[in-house]
Parts: sequence; structure tokens; C-alpha cells
Amino acid sequence: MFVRVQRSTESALRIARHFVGHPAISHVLYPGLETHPGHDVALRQMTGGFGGMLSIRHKRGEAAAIATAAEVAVFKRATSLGGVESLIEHRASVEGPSTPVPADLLRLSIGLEHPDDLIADLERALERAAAAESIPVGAPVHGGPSGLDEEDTGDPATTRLRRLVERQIRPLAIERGGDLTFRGYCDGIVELAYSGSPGAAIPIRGDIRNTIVHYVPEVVDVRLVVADADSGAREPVGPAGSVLERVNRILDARINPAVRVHRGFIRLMGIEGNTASIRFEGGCQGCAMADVTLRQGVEVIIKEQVAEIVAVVDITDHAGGANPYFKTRKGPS
Amino acid sequence: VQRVLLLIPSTSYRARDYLDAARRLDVEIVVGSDHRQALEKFSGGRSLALEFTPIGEGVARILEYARRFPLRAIIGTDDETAVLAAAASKVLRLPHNDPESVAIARDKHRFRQAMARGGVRSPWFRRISLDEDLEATARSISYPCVLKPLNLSASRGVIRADDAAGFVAASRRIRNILGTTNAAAHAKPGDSILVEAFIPGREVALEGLLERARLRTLALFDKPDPLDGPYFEETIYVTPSRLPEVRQREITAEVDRAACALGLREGPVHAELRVNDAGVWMLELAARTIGGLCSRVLRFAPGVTLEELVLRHALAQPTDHLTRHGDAAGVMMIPIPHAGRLRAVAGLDAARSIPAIDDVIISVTIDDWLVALPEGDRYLGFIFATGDSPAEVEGALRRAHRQLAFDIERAAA
Repeated sequence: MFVRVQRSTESALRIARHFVGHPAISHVLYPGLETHPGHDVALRQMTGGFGGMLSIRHKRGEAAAIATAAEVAVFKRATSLGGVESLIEHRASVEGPSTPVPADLLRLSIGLEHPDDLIADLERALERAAAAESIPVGAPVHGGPSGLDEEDTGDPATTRLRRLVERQIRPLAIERGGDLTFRGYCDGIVELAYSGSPGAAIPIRGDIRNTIVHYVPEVVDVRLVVADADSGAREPVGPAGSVLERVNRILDARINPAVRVHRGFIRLMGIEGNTASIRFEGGCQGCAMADVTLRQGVEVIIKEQVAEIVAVVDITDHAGGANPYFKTRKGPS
Repeated sequence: VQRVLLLIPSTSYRARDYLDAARRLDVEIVVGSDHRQALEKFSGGRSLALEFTPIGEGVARILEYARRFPLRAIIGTDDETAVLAAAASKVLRLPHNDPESVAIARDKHRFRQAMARGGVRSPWFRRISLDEDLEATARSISYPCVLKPLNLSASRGVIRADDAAGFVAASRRIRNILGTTNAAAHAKPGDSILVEAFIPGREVALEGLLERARLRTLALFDKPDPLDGPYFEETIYVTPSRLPEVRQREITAEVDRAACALGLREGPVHAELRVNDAGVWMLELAARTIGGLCSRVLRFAPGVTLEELVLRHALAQPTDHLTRHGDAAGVMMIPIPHAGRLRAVAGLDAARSIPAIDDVIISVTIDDWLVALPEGDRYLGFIFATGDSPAEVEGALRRAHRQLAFDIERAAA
């Protein structure tokens, strides 16, 4: 433990010093820096070093910070600290809308990797995030035809998405031993086809989605499908203006972006009469607070926005949840 | 609007049951939890993120909330939230227990002191520091005894010792458990523990409701599995009790006496007692309901759950007419046999097909890392049964459990 903490402390100080004055970074927050407002107190209290935690604030704000976190390769994106692996997280996303944490802040927990590798990784991520910003965030997207287009429709969002995938996302998949191509875009859903190792795309699905949503804000979700195969299970899609379509739109535009913070996803499985059936996935499946999410959130919004719906029922197999956000604990509760 | 603040940890099993009950009563529930809800911004004020401790900060947050959204009642769902609920209710002049009484109930040493002062039959007890010379302390203890962390619940860290060597080993094990228990309200390394006499006998649990200091027994559960240690894993609860009527009345009287000694006056209570030839012995009394999903075995009229009863009481609605409904009922908390990673669960359909079995719920997920008592803080799940008699219910629970096979991969040595 002593050796581990000593190493992470030394690396953290080196990384902090390296990024002071970096053109993309407005602040480096680390008590070991002489410029830190708490440095004198830290000097008195932290006799063995200043710890392995530091934060940086991106000059270009929240979106750039998120994009930077999405680009790292050596750091892992996770909410924890003090481990052997270096972690990065966009803290404000984790804490929610009323957090006092600045939106442009990235929290780093420094592990045992070589500090040169970590510095290089962060430098590269900052560069790639900046380069990607040159892809313009364009005009609003129009509904388009029902079903996902494989052809370029000439829609500006489709054009931007195709270019974004080709330039930024496909290289990531190729680096990981696979390939990933743009397949279509409709009603806020982007479909990408992967080939080669599934490990080349599926584990980084969240990063792919975050990157795409960042550059094309009209996108609400990204689906990965096997190349040359039918996408299989899809949400039921109804004609524009139908109850089905309106509920899906609420899920995509309002609910899923919020539950995504808890690694979750909520899928509309069907509408029968005036009852909508939904399924909780990801971090929502098996979550101890899933009922609260349903009753105090999903149901409230859908019933408010779609007058035809009077009930929303959860048909999730919660026992099958592999990674619930809140796990139940024994004890008198 | 009848708005009730439900203080509930984000790891609780209970959210659904309270929300269901609130819907039946047309009550608006505000979920006050220790983490922000994913859809808080859409909840229209029905969600409140707050820290349960320190109590003062939690109370301040509730007061701030109540200025915008007036509350009719505050309900705590576990030991920790019960203290905060009492403290905030006092400030808001809502029906409440004395916060100090609730706080004493959740501290095992202070609870023992209160019982001794109130003349409630209790084992001898002694508070010791884990920093003191444990070998020397061990020589001054009578055996068998039971060592307990002061603030952990559900038998976590509770270990029987039969001699000095066992005492020292148990103390060190508890110190390790406390060192890994990171909840702010829990003890820290170096804190004290309670040592008390091991009381042989059968164990029972009483579920009750206090209304203006009057105790009403809602259910008395037998625990048919012997709880003789070295660890005290809860397994089967069956009601009604098969103890003689006279003994059941003694149990109720003892719980009444204990509640009075603590100064509890309102709301649910859950008591654990031992019964032997010497009489009834109070082990614990908490100002909350039974934990986990166990309350699902109780009905107080068709469809009226324990959570509904608690809500009705909190809203000063009459509850006297609601008594336990139905035949014998029982629940088995499925214990974790050993530490390891859960790879598979088999036999669920077979278990559910046993006559008298109502449901089997596995509450952990595949690939979860499991830890057994005394370190663990989870169950594998719950089996529920109802039948014509307590014996039938107990038999069905045991048969259903035998149908289940848990593939738990042990850690590599």
C-alpha cells in the first residue's frame, strides 16, 4: 500500500505540473502545486505527499471536457479512486444537475501506470477532442423516412454523421481489431455496423455514443449491429405522430439521456390500449431504485406528455440484471 | 395533497412496496434518498437527495424542502433513517418519536443500558474498546458470550465466543469488518463493541405498531432454525407463533416494557427476543419495520400491506380494524453459504412449484461477488410461503430451498 500510494502521489504531482499552462486547460487543481490556494495547509497536513487525486478544467467548457474523457485510452473512465489503474471521470455528469462541481472539470485518480504514458494519453485526448470540434455542429435534423437509411439521403446530419464516424470512430474500432461503418440515421437513432472482433466496438459503445451525441446533438442513441446482418430486436416504430412514436421520442429525448448517467437505458416494448410497456436495461435492470425511476419519473413524464397513456408498466426481468446501478443490501431496509 | 417524505437508502429493497401502498392510499410520496434519482428533474418535487448523517444537516435539508412542499409525515425505513425521520418530524411538529429514543435503540450498548434501567430482562453486557488489551479482557469475560458491533444490523459482525481464544479471534475479526464498513454512520476502526451473555433458547421476532405509546402486536414470528452461533444468520420466519398463548403474551408484555423504557411512542417497532425456561429475554428493539422483503408475508386485510399500515398510521388514519389477515405465512432469507462469485442459480421453477410456495426472489445478480456472514451484508434472496399451518409453511420453505442450487465459484487460493 505504501509503495502504491507513494508512486501514485509522485505521478500525480508530475502530471499536475505538466498540465499547468496547457493551452486547453484553464485550471489544474492539485494541493501539491504551489499555486493551489490550499497548498500551505497541505504542506502542513500532508507530510507524505499530496495524494493521487487531481482535477483539470477544460477551457472550452463541458462538451470539450466530456469529449476529452471519451478520447483517453490509458486512463479508464470510471467513478472510483485510489486504485492501481488511473481513472478519469466527468464528475458533474455523475453528480447530476444541481452539483456544485464545475461542468468543465475532469477528475483524475492516478494509478500505477508510467506517468509519461498518462501524460501522453491525456495530451492525445485533448488534441483529438479539439480536432473533432472542427467538425461543425450543424442544422437541426428532420425526421426523414421511416426506417434507417443505408443511402446518404443528402440530409446534413447524415452527412456529418457519416464523416464523423469515418474520421473519428472507425479508426478506434480498427485499432481494436475490428471495423465499424455508418449504416443509417433516422429519428435520432444512429445505426453502426461492426465486423471483426465484437470487442472492437461493443465495450466502447458508450464512448461512441457520447462522441456522436456531442458532435451531432440531435442524436439520442446509437445502435450497434452486426455487419451484413439484420439488426434483430428493435423498438416498435410507429408512424409519425402516433402514440408509439411520441412515447419513443420522449424516451429518446428526455428520459434516456438522464438515466444514461446511471448507465441505464429504458426501452419501449409496446403499447396496448392505453398502457405502455417498458423494459429497463443496463444499470436500470435490477436497480434497487428502479421503481422510483418508473413511478416518479418515467410514468410522470409520459402521462403528462401523451394524454392517451394512463399507465406505464415495467416488464423487466430485474433478476437478470447484470450490473444494477444501486444494488440491494441486507439489513433492516 | 397528503405528502409523505419516505427516507430510504438507495440500496433498499423497500421502495416498491411503499410506492405501491402510497398509490392505493392516494398519497404523494417524496423519495428522500442518499443519492440523486436518475429522473429527479422530472419528478415535480417528489425526489429529495440528502445525506442521512450528520442528523443536523439532514434535518436542515428536510426543513428547506418542507418550506416549498409541506409534509404531512416523515417515515424512516431503516435504523439510520428512523433517527433522521424522528429528528426532522420533531422540528416540523409532525407525529414522532423522541429522536433520542430512536438513537438509543440503534446503539446496542445504549439500548442495553436503557433496558437495564427499565427493568427489562436482559443478558449481562459490557462495552469494550477494540484498542484495549484484548487478551486481558478475554480473561475477565464469562463464556459463552456474544460480541456485537454497536451499529451494524442484520447480524453483521455478530459472533459467539466460547472461550478466551475465541473472544480474541472474534474481536479481531469484528475490527476488520468495521475497517471495511465505510458508511458514515457505522463504527470506525478502534471503536467499541458490545459483549453480552449468550442466551440459549428459541428466538422470536415481534412486529408491532405503537400508537400513543400503546403497543399493538401485528405479527409474532417463530424462527425455527436454531441460532446458537458462532454466527447468527437469519433464515426462516413463520407466523403465527407456535408458542403457547401465555408465552406469547409474555413476549408482547416484554416488548411493551422495552418500548416504554426507551420512550418510544409512535410508529412501527421490530423486536427480537429469546425465550427459554427462565423467561423472555429482550435482544433488540428497533423503531422500524421488519427488514428486507420479509414484510411481504404480512397482510392486514386483502391487499393491505405492512407498508400501507405504516402510511395510514403516519397520516393518523385509523388502523385498529386492520389485523393480520390470512393463514400461516413465512419467509426464508436465503443465506450465502460461502464467499465467491455467483455463476448460476438452478431450480427456481422447481422451488416455485412446491405447494404453499408463493414466490422465490433471487436478489443478487449473476457474477456478483458474495460474502457470507459475519462479514456479508446481503442475502441470496427470499422464499415466500403461505399455508394452512405454520408447520406446513416451514416445511414448504425448506423443501423449496433444497430445490435451489447456487453455483458459487470460490476465490482462487
